[in-house]
Amino acid sequence: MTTVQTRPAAPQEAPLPAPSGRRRRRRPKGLGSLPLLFVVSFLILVPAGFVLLAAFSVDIPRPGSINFDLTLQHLAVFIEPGVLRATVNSLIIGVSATLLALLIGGFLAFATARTNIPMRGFVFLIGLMPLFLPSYVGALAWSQLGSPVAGLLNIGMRDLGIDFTVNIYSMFGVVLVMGMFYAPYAFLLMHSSMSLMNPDLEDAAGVHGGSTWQMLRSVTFPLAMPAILGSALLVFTHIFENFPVSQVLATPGQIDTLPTFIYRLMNASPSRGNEAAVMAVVLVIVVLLVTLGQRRILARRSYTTVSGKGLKARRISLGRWRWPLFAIALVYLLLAIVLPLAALILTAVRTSPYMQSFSDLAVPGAIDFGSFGRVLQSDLFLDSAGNSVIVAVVSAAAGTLLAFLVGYTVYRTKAKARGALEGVSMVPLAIPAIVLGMGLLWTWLVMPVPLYGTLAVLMIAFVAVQMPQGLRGIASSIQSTERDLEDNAVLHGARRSRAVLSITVPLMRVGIASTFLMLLMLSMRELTVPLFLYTSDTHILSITIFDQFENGGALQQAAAMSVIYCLIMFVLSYLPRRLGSGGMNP
Amino acid sequence: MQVTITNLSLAYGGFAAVKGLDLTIGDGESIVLLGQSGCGKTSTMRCIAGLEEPTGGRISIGDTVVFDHETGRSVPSFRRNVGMVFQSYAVWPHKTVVENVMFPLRMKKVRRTAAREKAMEVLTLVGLDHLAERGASQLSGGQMQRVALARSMAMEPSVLLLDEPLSNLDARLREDLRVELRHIQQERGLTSMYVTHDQQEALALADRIAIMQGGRITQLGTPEEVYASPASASIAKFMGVTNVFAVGEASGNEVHLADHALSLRTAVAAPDGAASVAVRPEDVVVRTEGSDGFAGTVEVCVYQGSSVRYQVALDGGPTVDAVCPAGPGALARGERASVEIAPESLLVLPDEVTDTPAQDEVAA
Ligand SMILES: Nc1ncnc2c1ncn2[C@@H]1O[C@H](COP(=O)(O)OP(=O)(O)OP(=O)(O)O)[C@@H](O)[C@H]1O
Ligand SMILES: [Mg+2]
Repeated sequence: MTTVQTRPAAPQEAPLPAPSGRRRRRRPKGLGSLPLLFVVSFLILVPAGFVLLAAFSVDIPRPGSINFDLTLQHLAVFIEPGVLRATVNSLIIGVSATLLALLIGGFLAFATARTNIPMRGFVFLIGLMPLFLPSYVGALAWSQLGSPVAGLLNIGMRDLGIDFTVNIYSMFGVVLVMGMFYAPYAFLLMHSSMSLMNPDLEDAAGVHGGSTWQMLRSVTFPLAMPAILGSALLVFTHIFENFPVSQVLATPGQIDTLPTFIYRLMNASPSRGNEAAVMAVVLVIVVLLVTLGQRRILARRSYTTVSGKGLKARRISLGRWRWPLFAIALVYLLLAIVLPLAALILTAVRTSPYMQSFSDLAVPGAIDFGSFGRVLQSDLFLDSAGNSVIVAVVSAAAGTLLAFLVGYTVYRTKAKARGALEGVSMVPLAIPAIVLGMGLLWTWLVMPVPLYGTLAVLMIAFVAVQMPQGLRGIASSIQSTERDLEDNAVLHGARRSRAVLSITVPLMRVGIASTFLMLLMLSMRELTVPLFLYTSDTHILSITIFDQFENGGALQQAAAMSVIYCLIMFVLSYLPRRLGSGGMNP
Repeated sequence: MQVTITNLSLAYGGFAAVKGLDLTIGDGESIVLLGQSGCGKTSTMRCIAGLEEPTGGRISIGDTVVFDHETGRSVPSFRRNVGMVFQSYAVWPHKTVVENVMFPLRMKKVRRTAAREKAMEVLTLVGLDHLAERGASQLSGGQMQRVALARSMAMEPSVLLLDEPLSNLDARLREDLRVELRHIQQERGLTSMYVTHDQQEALALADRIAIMQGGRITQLGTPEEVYASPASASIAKFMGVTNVFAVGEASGNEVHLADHALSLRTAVAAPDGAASVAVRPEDVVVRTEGSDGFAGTVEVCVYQGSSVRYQVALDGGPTVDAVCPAGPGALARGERASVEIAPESLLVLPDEVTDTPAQDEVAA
């Protein structure tokens, strides 16, 4: 927190033990951190509190009437048919998709960090690329590819006379898509752990009689275990709480998951918000437990540290397996990026939504690239894109500023509220987006300020949801900036606020800029949280695309819009990497 | 087992780290490889262990050729039965102490209980049996070094390689472990190669010292030989001879220094190509002014307990280092002094060794 001082602190005052001088230097910081704690708590804890309240009160919070009559009657939702199914489904999907993501991510991480796989840089990029594609766009694309009747893959196989039908509207489909799109998180974590390994540890296994395989089994993999477990838990929480992929792929196949179940309770008429809140609390508890487990495991990750002499890790020669393994990486690229994008483009350019065979495309007029142009000029797109940009820019800017204030207070001052501030800021990590969305809805319905139904409520929601990512981005930058430089300016007579603005901020500009861009990208791709908050006047791109696909009406426009959206996302995700200090980690 | 290295070369990319190195380690012998940082000591060792692929030469251990560039034969690391103590110890942090030591035995298909017994035996030898069940990440540096040593000894290696195993430890521990290492090596008759750039360590641990410079061995001999008659000025400097002066002109038993108007008497006639003279600080005698020798002024005087180290600037000559016994008659800074250098203690040397030294007889 920048200190608000009424006059410059006289430099000669500093070393004096004068009580007045002391008090003046300390007080502003303590005062500054309290309003900040209030703001952050209001943004994050109040919505969470509303969900908890709704789970145990007679009625959901409404404008003008917050109901404090407590009851346990909503727990009855537990015996409702379907709850158990949804929970079991969520668990099955969570576990299997996590395993798949680990398999993909681990394979790519090992191949790029530790082997002589051909075109290593390119394979590394393959591991990252799905990050550019929001998972629900992947799901929408796969629904075009793998729907049992009209899926492009199925049409293609029928054309070729292969008697096999892919059904993406199944457990298998959900697991496949989730696994593929969360693999990059596992990839990033494992890649850094495997490339940081001290090569001597492995050489020692060789010298002492272990063959390459025995070395991998008894040294390399055990050493990477904490990273593997940590990324497993992280990926699991993301998949477990993921709403859009389940909604797109599981719901049509009559498969319920916890998030879709909550969504349906909310959207039932009359809305069953209280029961939804009960389920939300269950979801939070599971995610919270797993998140705690993950933090503990990652905190123990001490033994992959490098020794002073540790050079680059040794690369294992794959011999004749080089190209076959490269081909496996290409298959992943094909399934996660190439086919989905191709499906979206094809859907966007073909004039008829019905297609029996790929030969239909040869008919004159079957393909029309004009749809991109029409979409670019359509009011719906322009409005949504405009809204998205405004919301994303404002929330990213506000989020970065808030993260900077919090980060500065936490890492640079002695404010008492430091611990609380950091803790509260990290809370959204443990609260599924769908739950936070509900809470934000109730919060801003109830608040006596007319924000609901405006873009402002979306901005506020995004700032709240992305607080952890923002704080992490800023924290790493603050911690790598020498505080002495700022203190020096103060010793030379600058006010603290002045010193922060003219020394610390410029020094951190790369970190601040990349945090801003990361938040911008996260805001552009966020779907679940705004799902409860948008109104017909406040469409944003992610919502519009989702809506159009869901309602099926305008498939062509939706696909064209998705392609354009992917391009925007690609540019946005590329920028922070260019700026260095890439903070793509979730 | 006897290790024979012939004409070994290793290049990283285009950079030659080892250039035609010849060395024979006798059975049960301890060779210390001594050389400056970056001269290729670790690289040589990694070639013997099979962790690097040499670009030329031949290595055999006992009767087995483990590497031969000509025939393309290269036995993989895990079949060479070479023990290695890494500079970073490379003790596996996710295993317990005893599991670390059991690893090579398990790799040799020794049954678990037998391997455990054997491991405990070796741990007792290095004095770590009481820590057997401790996680290896909770050990101190000295303890890790012993675990690494025990792990390599447990495999009963044909040759044991130790890469600066003591360099990460504090001075006191180093001295203790140095004695202990030498004891274990001699008692077990281990064929070993020890890398260091600390000359004290080299003198203490070696049956023979191999001086390595720029990827080659430039002098090979017993510690006494290397200490008493270094083969070149650079080796002399490395062996702690701080007084090395360039020679301008030599005539008979008289050498004139290049940069100073001073001449010194030598015991033997200076050979052709003599480029430097060197004298150990211990062999320089400093007395109060008026005695025999060159006159000079004491510039620095450092008390070292049993001895005093002086730097004396000779009148019209170089500054000379001297180590004299402490006691009455010690000089203070600024005092005038006489410096005497006995002709027998003066070493007349080439700057560098140009040709590889004749191989000594292999020590039994
Ligand atoms: N993997 C490598 N790639 C390229 N050059 C290397 C590599 N390893 C070592 N070198 C170079 O080879 C030379 C010899 O290295 P080596 O590690 O054998 O030296 P050393 O004598 O063990 O030195 P130190 O006493 O510092 O351990 C050095 O100049 C080093 O820079
Ligand atoms: Mg070395």
